[in-house]
Amino acid sequence: MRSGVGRTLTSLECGCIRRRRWGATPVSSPAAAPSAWRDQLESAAQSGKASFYASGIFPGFGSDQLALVLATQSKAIRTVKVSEIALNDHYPVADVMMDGMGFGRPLDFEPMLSTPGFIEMAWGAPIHLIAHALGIGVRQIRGSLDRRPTHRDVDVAFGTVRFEAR
Amino acid sequence: MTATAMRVVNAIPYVVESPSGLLSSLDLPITLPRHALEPGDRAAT
Repeated sequence: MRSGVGRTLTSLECGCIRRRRWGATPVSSPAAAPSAWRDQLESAAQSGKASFYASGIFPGFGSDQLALVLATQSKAIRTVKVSEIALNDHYPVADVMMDGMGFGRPLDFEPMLSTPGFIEMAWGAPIHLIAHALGIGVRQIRGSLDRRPTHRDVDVAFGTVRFEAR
Repeated sequence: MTATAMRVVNAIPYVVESPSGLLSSLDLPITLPRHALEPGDRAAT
């Protein structure tokens, strides 16, 4: 990202995030991002002669690029399976861990992850990126959420996930 | 968390050299950390 215009892009992106309470996930695969986001960012980038790249681990290397790198060894592909297995005990942001994902909350609590369409949105960019790279289309993305109670108290960076006897 | 940030930090020189517009990982080469090795870690040449 060239200097100067970066602040404009960041402001636009943050505005989108605040309005929708979504992260920057879709922007990691611009072709699959909502057109309202993409068009604003693309317009700002072109007018400011800036290049814009969003990535990380998820979405990013772990969720799409690693799978594609491994795919370079394939002669034929039947399935691409990507799993995110995260040890989040060091992550100190309670809002994300508790209200976003449901850790430390009762099982009847509805975290942001359970919002209809949220999982599809979160995985949409990596799935579309992989599909685009392999030259295929995406017919449908289905999301589901499954949670299990802990069998003991677990101390983590954002607090304690407590075992509750029922 | 460091690795998450390094994905984009290491990509900076490649993104700067890219044409204007939105980029995905497919538009960039492997974003190698060109200056990550500490001097003491470099193999003698």
